[in-house]
Amino acid sequence: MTANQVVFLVLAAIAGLAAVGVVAFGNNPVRAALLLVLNFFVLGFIYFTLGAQLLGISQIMVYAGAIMVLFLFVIMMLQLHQRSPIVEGREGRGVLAWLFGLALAVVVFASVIVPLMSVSGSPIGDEYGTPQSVGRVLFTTYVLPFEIASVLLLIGIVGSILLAKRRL
Amino acid sequence: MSGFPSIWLVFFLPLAGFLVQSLLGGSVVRFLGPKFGRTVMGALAVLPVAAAFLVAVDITVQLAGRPVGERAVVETLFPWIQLFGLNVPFEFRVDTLSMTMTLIITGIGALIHLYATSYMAEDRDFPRFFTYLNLFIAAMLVLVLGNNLVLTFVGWEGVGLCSYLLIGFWYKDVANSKAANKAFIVNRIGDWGFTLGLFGVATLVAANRDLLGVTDPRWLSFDVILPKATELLALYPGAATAIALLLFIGAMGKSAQYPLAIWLPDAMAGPTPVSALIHAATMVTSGVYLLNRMSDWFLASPVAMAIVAGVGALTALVGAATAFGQTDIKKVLAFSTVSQLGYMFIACGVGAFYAGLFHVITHAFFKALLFLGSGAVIHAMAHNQDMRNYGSLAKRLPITYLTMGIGWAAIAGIPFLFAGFWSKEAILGPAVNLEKAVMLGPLTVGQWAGWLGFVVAAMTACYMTRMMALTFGTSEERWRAIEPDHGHHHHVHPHHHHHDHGPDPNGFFMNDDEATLHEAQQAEPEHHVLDRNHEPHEVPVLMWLPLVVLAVFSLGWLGAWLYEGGVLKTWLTGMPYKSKHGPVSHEILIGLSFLTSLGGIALGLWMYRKRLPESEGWDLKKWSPLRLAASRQFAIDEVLGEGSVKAGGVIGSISWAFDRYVVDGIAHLLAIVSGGFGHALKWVQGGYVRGYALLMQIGVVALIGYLIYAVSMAGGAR
Amino acid sequence: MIREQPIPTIDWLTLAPMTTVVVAGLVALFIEMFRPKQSNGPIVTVSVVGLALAGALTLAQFGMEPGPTFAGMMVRDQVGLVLQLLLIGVCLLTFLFSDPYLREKKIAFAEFYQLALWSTAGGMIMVSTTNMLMLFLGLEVLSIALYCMAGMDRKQAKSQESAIKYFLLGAFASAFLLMGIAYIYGPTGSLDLGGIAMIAAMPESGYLTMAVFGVGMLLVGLMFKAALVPFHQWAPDVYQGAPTNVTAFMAAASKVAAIGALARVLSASGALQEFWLPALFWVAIATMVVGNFAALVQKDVKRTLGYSSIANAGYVLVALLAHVKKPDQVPLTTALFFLVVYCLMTVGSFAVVSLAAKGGEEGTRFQDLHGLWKRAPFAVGCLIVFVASLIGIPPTAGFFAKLFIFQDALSTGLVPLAIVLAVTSAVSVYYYLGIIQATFVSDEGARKTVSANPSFGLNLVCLFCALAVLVVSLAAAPVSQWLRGSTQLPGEAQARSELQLDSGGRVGAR
Repeated sequence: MTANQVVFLVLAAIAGLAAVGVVAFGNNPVRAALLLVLNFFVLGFIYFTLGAQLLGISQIMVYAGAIMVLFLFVIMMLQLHQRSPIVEGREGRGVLAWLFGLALAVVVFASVIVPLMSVSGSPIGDEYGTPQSVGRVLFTTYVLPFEIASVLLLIGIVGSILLAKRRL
Repeated sequence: MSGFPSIWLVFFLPLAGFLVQSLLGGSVVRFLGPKFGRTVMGALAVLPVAAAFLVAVDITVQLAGRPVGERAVVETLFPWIQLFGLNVPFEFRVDTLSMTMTLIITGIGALIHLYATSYMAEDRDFPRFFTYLNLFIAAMLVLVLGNNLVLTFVGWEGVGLCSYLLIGFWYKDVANSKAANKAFIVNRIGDWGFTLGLFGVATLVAANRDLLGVTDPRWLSFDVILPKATELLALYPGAATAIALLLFIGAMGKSAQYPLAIWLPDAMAGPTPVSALIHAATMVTSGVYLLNRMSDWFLASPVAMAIVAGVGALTALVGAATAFGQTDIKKVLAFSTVSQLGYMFIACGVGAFYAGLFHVITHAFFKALLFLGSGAVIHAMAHNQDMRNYGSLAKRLPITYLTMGIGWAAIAGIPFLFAGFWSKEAILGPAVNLEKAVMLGPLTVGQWAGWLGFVVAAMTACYMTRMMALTFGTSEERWRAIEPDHGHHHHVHPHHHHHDHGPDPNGFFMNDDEATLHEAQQAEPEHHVLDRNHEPHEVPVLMWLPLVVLAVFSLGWLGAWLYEGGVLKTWLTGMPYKSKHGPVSHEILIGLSFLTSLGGIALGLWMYRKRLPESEGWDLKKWSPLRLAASRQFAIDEVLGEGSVKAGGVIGSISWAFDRYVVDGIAHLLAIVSGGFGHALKWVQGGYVRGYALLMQIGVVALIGYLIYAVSMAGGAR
Repeated sequence: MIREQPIPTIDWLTLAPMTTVVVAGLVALFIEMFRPKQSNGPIVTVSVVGLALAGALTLAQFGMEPGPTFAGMMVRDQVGLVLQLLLIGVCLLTFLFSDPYLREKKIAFAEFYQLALWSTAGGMIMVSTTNMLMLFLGLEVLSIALYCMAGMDRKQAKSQESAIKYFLLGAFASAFLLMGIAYIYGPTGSLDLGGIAMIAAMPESGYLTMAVFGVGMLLVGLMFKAALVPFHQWAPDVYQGAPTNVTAFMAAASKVAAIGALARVLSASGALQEFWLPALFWVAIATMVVGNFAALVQKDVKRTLGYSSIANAGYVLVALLAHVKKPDQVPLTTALFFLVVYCLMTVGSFAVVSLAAKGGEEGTRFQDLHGLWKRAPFAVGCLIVFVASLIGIPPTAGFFAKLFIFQDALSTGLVPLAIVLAVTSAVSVYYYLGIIQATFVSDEGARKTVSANPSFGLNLVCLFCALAVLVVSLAAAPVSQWLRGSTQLPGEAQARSELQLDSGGRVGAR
């Protein structure tokens, strides 16, 4: 086992546990949100280990920084610490959900991940993942998706105003 | 050989008219006001048909300029049905037969449209009327121009629909709706025959494509099935008879041959222009067209031909006899139409198909003339149709009188000078000389039919004289006897006085309040019921102008030109004319025509010249039993109607029981089962997002699990 | 040293319709910013003009040389053009009857128009790209706008509920889609769908399982959008809760876009069909059965039509499967024909149903339609045409659409699918006729709301849809001829030589 793999496993374990924690602490939104920050942060590190510097930085700045802070603001403003008014009945569906979730995990792991364990990647070039190279690609080959993504953001803005502005 | 793409113009012009009328009619009338709006929409209804007529004339002239062998062109618009090696395109056939019919349809159609703009001028549903009328023209053109039986059938059903809509045009009166229903239902019987005949043709052709050498997938088109029909049918005499008879049943329904004729008299409930156009000049002759088009298929079966001639003769006789008992002017004309259609089928039945079409042409002119004339009379007489209220109208309606007089002379068959004589001559000549055909006693069926035809000719002359004399002749003005306000012994068709039309089923037209308002604003004071104070006036110019045109064409020149020298026969059949000499010579036939027509007229004048005979007056007890029977159509209608209703009732109750206990049982069972299944699904659809997500998850696991399994089965970790 | 990236060659005309629609939305947004809050007239006008222009630009491209542009981000081909045109048409028809409806429902948001326009643009991207990144972006543009529009009626809890449901489940499905893209991108280093065929051509590479897995995940994402069983459950709830004009748009546009994308994915992974075809075979059966049977017990017209749209997705899936099974023999025309007819019928029916709203109230239960016949005879007349076509009564367009699918299924050996199609269509008669029946019942006591008078725009929509259904039924053969053009999707069977399995060059598709 190489050092690279050790680092990856540690980071992956933290990210995975944090993700589980987001769901497990579902009745305490602040805790769940903080665990999500942790998850995003560790993901950023994984990107670094893969050589994707720009992606890692944006992950930490945009997600762990900006978006999560916003989440926390909203949670605190809305005072979501009261218990949810909806009491869920036990219908046995939860068990089914666990069962099938596990089944999916097993299927994916056994058939897809295991065969891939033996595959060794090829080395990447120096400029891979640097802001310059990503920028080049983003504004040449991928400029159309880039623009479409901006339309998507615009839709998000207009839509949120539509759904949230006070006066009808 | 170049085609005639302009034939599509002939079809699309009325179709465009239909669309304009249906989509814009109501709005235009509302926008421009009833009077001006109706004028505009009337013009927009007439013009497309008139333009189509001009285009058709142009095409016909070009067609006539071609050598005989090249007078059939197929124009394809688009591939229409493509199934299992069968290709039925939307294609028109431009040939002498179809163009002859097209000229009649568009020419007479345009005149009648023109007439109707005036006749219907005060009707609330003016655009609806012309919507149907333009659609009728378009459908009729599909019928005669279609180059395959399927397209013909589309037109066939289209004209049936328009006929239904127009008979029931004044739907507020239940009697009209019933008449429309009757026409439609009786026509279904004919359509049943047509459909089966169509399937028969298709089956026969499909089974013998190799024999016919058909490689074209368009194997239902006329240019494929017609040329080889004779060879093919020689191999299948039984099938030939069956198909011919089935197609003839179709023709009987549409062309009102007994016993399927019972709808036509009732169809007079529609507005008079409709009676003239659809139920005299064009639609009812589509059966004759069908027989002409499929003539080779009929010629292959002598038995079927004999039946056609026999049915035709019977219809001619019964129709003429019934006309004697009618007092409604339109009913007289209706039965005379039935009778004249019988003549056309006699012609087809004796193999003189072109003569049948010849009579279609002349009859279209003089019968349209008579109907429009009767419409003018009815219009002048405040929509009272009973001849017993008429009398002495000649001086009040001089133009109508003169033009109808020409129509009368034409249908009575006065020799040489009028059109009807020539076509009747063309039919009865071959009929009485028919020798090699199915025998019935000493004579062939065709000969019987021919001699019967002469008898009917005399009857026709007589009852038409009766109608003319009772309407225009006699010195008494019989409506003077009607007391105002309690005219209990005449019935008035109430259609023009309706202000409370229900919601318009099409929704295109003006709403009730507006319409009633408009109606009230321009209500005409002289529009009242017929009583002693009524003063008939000559109809407006737009109504008598078509009469004059039709009268000109009902004169003898047209018949003489088409008949003498065989212009029409050569045109239609492509064969040169040669006068055949049978046992009954030409001179004898003309002599007989003189005798029957002038004799019938003389008899009629003798009986009705002075006044309405007591024996035909208001008191039915004084009527002779025979005339009474004729007035009731010899109970044919009742027997058929009642009988079929009763039989239908029995069949209905049996099928109801079957339906109730067997079919419903199965259906209920199925409903319960499927309903239960549905409820189970509803339970799964609980409304919780997490439930939905769970099902998605299960789906994903199943799908991915299966895929992985399939891959590993296919060779493990390839 | 930084590699020089070449600027890709761009055929602007290929991008033009989509761009026009987006720009129309932007212009409409600006108008809304400056306009006093009175009338949506200018916005509707701009939108309609923009859509008409986009439609014209699309039409102009028919018959042009097909091919990719912008490094494969968008492609021009017959299928894409037809579906783009269809999407534009759907949006246009929806707009024509939206304004009176929104007015009746007292929904004051003109944002509907911009969102619908952008949503249309997203759908247009989905149907004419072979690039998975673009596919994903298109899907998100389409969906997020739809989520917002579904929740537009803020006074109604049902509308809000439908929006949140749609959003949550949609996000769930998008996750699968993204994961699928990742699994195909991984081994090929290419975002193009052609990568799938490449892997399939080299089974010894060891990536086959990944590719199959990726395709499966991609399919899940798209099947959700197309509402195929078992990813269908959102559809009835959302159709019912969303404002009716949004439902009309959603039912038609999102179905067209999803089916279009599905067609491309299935065609591109045709080489792997031995694996997924049996699975989708059962999906098709389940969809037809569940859609039609669940519709039987519904009490709400919009829900019924929702289930009917699920069933229709099943029918069109049959057409896709038949095409993928024998691409040379069965063209994609059948599916296109069905979609065209489906859109006409669906938009038309929902337009008529939208009459149920008046004065801020809306009732869409069956008994709320009672007596509609009297109040809107023309609309109901058109509804009869739509329903007859949905049932598939000959000779309506719907009949031909189903007949073609039936034939395709038979000719490719998918006999069970053909049988299920026929049987479930027979079942569907019951609930479709129920809709018509409801409009004719004269007892109006059971109604909750009074329905609105049909507006001019609504009548126009009804008339257009009904006429189109009739015209298509009369001219079924020429229409499908026209649709056919050349409906071979690019990348079918032909392995893309310009893509190479290059694990080094992660960035850059070619």
